Amino acid sequence: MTAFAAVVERYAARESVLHRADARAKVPAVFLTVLAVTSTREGDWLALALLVIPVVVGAYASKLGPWFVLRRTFLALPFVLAVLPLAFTRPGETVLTLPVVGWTASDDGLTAVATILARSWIAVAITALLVSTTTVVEILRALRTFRVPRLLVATIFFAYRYFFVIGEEAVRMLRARDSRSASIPGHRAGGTLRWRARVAGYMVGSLFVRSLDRSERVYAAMQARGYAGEPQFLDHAPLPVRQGVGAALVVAYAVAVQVGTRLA
Amino acid sequence: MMSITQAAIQVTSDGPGMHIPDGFVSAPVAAAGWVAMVGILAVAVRVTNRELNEKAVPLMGVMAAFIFAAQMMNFPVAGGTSGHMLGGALAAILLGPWAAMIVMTAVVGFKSVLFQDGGIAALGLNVLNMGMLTALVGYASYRTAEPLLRGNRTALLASVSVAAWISVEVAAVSTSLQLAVSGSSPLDVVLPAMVGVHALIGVGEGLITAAALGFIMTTRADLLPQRRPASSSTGRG
Amino acid sequence: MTLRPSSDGAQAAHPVAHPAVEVEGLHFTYPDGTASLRGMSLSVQPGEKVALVGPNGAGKSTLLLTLNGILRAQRGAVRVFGQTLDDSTVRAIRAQVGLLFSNPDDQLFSPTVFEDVAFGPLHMGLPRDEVLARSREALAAVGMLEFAERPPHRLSLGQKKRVAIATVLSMGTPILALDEPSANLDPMSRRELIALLARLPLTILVATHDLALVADILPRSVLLAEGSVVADAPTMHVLNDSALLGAHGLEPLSAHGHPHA
Ligand SMILES: Nc1ncnc2c1ncn2[C@@H]1O[C@H](COP(=O)(O)OP(=O)(O)OP(=O)(O)O)[C@@H](O)[C@H]1O
Ligand SMILES: [Mg+2]
Repeated sequence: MTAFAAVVERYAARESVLHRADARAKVPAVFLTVLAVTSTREGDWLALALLVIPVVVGAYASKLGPWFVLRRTFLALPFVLAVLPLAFTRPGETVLTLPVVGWTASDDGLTAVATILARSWIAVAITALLVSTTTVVEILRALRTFRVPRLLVATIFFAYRYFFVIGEEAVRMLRARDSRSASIPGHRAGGTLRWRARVAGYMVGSLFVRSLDRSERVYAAMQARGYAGEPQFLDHAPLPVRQGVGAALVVAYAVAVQVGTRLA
Repeated sequence: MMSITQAAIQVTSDGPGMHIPDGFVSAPVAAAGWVAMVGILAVAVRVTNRELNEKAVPLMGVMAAFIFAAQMMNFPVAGGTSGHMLGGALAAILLGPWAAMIVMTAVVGFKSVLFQDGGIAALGLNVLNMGMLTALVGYASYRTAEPLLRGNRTALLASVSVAAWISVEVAAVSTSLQLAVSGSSPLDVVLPAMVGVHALIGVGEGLITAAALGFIMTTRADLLPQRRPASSSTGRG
Repeated sequence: MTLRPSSDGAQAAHPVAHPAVEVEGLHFTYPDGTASLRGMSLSVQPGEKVALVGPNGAGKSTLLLTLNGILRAQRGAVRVFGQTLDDSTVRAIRAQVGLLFSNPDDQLFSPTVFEDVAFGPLHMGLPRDEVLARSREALAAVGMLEFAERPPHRLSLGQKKRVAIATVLSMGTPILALDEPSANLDPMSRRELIALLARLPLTILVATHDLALVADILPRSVLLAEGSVVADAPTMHVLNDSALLGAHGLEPLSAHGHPHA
């Protein structure tokens, strides 16, 4: 396996119920569950607590463990900055005042921030479970069953396949550039910002030329094997009923949590 | 080897702070994003199917891989940070807006699946902002300026720069609005912040996009859409 | 020097039997003006295994691409089992001539090995069961069945080449046109490839710089230069003619590399 592939693919090869589950069940289940999680009301701590349960169960059922899942969820962290201001701009009872600048955080504001962060964390953890137990190919195959246009599915398949070929080409170019980016002590190295950006642009341009040529060769290879513009796929065995039911139960749970806490 | 690769991935996945994760936008806003994305994609699929016909799949698939790789082409800025591009404007200028939207959808979608860079409920919005708006706005700005320049290369590349810059700014504005409408961030805070940060990021986008186009004009002008005869491209051995 | 082992006499003996491949006065110029085939003529009988040798740029790859209509010659004709290649026959001819491209990354475009091998039969419109059976058979023939679910980017180059050959085998074409099948293979993978080609009972054309492979399994050699045939003879004759080889930038094999069969 290439180093590029090793970094790009997040699938963790293990053996578990979740790994074995059909992507055609997992993908819609995760999508709908995430949507349900997203609609948690501000300050609904009970709902949030109930929604953490599937994450914990999933972490153990996938044999990945809670730490593994936790590590994968830090990805969304930088975005926290976008919601923090809410704590200070929402009107409400002041619960703390920042020293020096004198900004005041309201209780409603803090509640809003905490809710957003919590539901985001749960959603990211659920997605992390999907991505770590399902290969990209399986996820893509699942797309076919959701009436995504063939042209789009086929394009996405090609994109996946050639990410690795062209990504490797890009890495080779970066390596060639970096190996020539020496600096002599006492001299300011690296040129102006504009110059450095332009070098990156030239690399992008040359990558485009190579990629377009490659697409022509790939097209020729497809034609040689009988392609006439209409992508065909092997159909796969129908989804086992048990898998569908399992997926529906997960979604039903998330929906029940939302409905139940609103009614209660 | 590994370290460079990792650096490349790092840069790509850090992104220019526009990939909305799940939970940050409200469910109705996220759902609206999906509806809009699916609608626009349906049109894009129909148009590209007609315009590119048999070649559509290999061309757009490989081009999506290209944009993804192009996003790895970073350049050091200052203090350990680095710049790179989104590529929506470049894709639109090279492939036309509709094919570019499909290509960018594949790129943004993959990043959310491969890196969890941007959520899946929020995928519709992320595709709209970073894939469709950048392509449309970049293309429209470029096409508006182009006829006024009478083939002056320097002016053309300058206008490409500006078009790419505008495309990033519009995406930033749109992201801010979605956060504000969701009640996740006050508009008077998030808008100036996003627009400000992306004014700088957009400069990198502009410089790279123009340099890339300049490179192609110099070395392989035959590949640019305006000059590419429909038949010349059959089967390069 | 133009010796033709598959002479007209053979055809006269079987008046109905057409040559597998017949190329007549083929001219091809790329859109940029490079004339790469200049009046190429060649005839290959069913079951023959023929080497196309010649220096870089001789036109070997271009010739192979014209054989199933990926490139269309500006002048001349390509006939496959007597059928002339044109718009109406091109799809039928693609089911006769399987083409192996020199770079497996161009040829393997599907997300998994199995889907790639199934691509040809699937797009030829075969029923699902037959597609599956042929794909498995082809993968087994190249010893790659256990890799069926792998994505191509997780294969070594030699494995990619073998899968690429399987993508052609699964189409069940009676003719194989292979572009540099042994290039960049390690000695072990190369030996396996040679053994595979030797046991396939098909008409095979191989464009290659690997003269040891030619000597091993391809009894007839066609030497191309600047877009035309300069020699067409039993491989032993061609490979022993050091003056001819030297004149076209090829190096004779060392003595022990020769077959003495
Ligand atoms: N896509 C192309 N566009 C323009 N000219 C081309 C193209 N492909 C090949 N040529 C030219 O056509 C001629 C024949 O090339 P071809 O690839 O058929 O040679 P070859 O015998 O396969 O060489 P090699 O041993 O290097 O593979 C060369 O002069 C080459 O430069
Ligand atoms: Mg060649």
